[in-house]
Amino acid sequence: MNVAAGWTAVILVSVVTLGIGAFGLRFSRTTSDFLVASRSVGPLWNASAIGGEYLSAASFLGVAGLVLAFGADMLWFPVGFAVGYLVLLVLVAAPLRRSGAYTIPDFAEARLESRTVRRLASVLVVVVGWLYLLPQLQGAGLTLRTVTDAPTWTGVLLVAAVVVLNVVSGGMRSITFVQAFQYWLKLTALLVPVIVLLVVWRADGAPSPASGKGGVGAADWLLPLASGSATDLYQTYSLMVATFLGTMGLPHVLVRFYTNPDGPAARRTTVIVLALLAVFYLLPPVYGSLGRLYAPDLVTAGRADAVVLELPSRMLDGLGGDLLGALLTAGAFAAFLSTSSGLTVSVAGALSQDVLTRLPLGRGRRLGGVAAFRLAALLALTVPLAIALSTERLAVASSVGLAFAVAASTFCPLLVLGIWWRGLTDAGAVAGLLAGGMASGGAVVLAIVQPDATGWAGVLVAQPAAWTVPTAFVVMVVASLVTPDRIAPGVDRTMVRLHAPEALDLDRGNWQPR
Amino acid sequence: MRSLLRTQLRLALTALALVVGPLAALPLIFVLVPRVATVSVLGLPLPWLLLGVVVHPVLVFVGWAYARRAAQAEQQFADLVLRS
Repeated sequence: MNVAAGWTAVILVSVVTLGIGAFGLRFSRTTSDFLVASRSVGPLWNASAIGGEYLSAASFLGVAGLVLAFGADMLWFPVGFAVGYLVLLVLVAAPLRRSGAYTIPDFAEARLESRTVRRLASVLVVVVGWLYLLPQLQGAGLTLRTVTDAPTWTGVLLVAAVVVLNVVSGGMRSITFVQAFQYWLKLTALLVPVIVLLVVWRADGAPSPASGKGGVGAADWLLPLASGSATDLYQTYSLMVATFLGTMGLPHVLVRFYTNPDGPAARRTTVIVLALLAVFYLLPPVYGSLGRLYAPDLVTAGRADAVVLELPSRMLDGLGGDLLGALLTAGAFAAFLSTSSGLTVSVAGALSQDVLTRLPLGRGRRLGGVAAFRLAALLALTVPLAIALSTERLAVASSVGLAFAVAASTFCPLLVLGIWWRGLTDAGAVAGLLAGGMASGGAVVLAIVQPDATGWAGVLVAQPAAWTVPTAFVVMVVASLVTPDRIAPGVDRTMVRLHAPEALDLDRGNWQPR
Repeated sequence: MRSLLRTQLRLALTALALVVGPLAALPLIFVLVPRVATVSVLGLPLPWLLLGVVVHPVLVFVGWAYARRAAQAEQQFADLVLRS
């Protein structure tokens, strides 16, 4: 690919991102502006921002790469990413917005009236956030190396620098504008090239992608679960559990819902998000399928993740291929920047509210809200940055899958039981979070240390959700049932707050997020 | 209040059953009746058509219908409380 076109795209996206961020900066003044943009963002803006934030490197590059390498079985990734939003819509969107909390730890504290659950939730937010930030940074390194031959660390550092500048200067309000812009950029960046590439494919006589080479054989590629083996079936179901239930537990996703004015608006926004995702997820499988015809060597080279970036220059000569390649590079960079920004805001929120503002600075002083948030944003990126620079790359989509599994095994039971079952107790929540967190976290560590394990041991560790999520639910329910005296004293008022329409004048309690 | 909660939960679970039920059945069908997966519709193999295309509009429709119903249930509850 043309190196100059690649650099232009990368720099342009970075500059525009910072520019829109600076524009939004004029609106953000107080801590609450920083965190939730004052809840004054319109539904389409907000939905675009949610979509922009959600469509990460895994969606933009990873899905196409997986479809290229493994075929039909990988279609479950985009399906799962989209269904996760439906689950979120029907089970948590409106009640969560009505809770008035900014973050998952806020929700835990409001519902269970326990500082312990709050702190544990904050720790988990940081863990899930870091797990998800890592592949974003690594994906940026891979992209920059593919399009410009620059060493991997350049892309990693570039994304980290732009994100930190943006988050530290503007907080959530400017992030909302940036994210909304980036959804539309990402959609355009996939849609325009795919139309041109499909025209070229037709001109070539529209060969069937199954006839292409690379990776698995034609039948295995074209048909789902072609082997019919029990481990493959388990993996498919476990992936469904992780993606369906994990979406609601991703910290950067939930924080967006607080920018809606009320519960019904939160639902309307989510429906728009579903529509935006539906359009987007039609496209990556097309790239993966064309890749099997025009770029099968990427699979054997272990670079299937780059298929989206490579296709235009493989299928078109000259300026056309360069321009489309540059557009796709811009979209990929938008994906890294938007998801990393959202994650950094969430991790920084948890760090600043529950760690930094509590540190004594001497003479009884403590760090102020905005200063703590800025320091936390730096810390939030430093750790994954250090790991990304020091370790070899994990496959982008597989580490994202592990982040989903941890989120589904911890925050999903906390939110679903907290919202719909008044019997959940603080002791039950702690037990469930620890059980789910340790089981899925242990699997993640094993999967990273022993990536080559095969057979049942391998799949149980690589796709842990199917056993860790039920474990977390059962532990949370049973531990709550045996500690009925620990039901939060204000639970009835909290349930009114979560579920009653805003129009009614009811006693909702007086809890306020800190 | 408890009746509102039950109505909303029933709505939510119905919406989930409509989408997750058929999706969860698909892998089993593909394994137990492999012939289903080889059927070709509109030039696309059935699994690709279902998972790559059809599922998305269905999701949007179910989400939209759910959001409407949930808002209606809340309105009814609000009317009931305000009248009493």
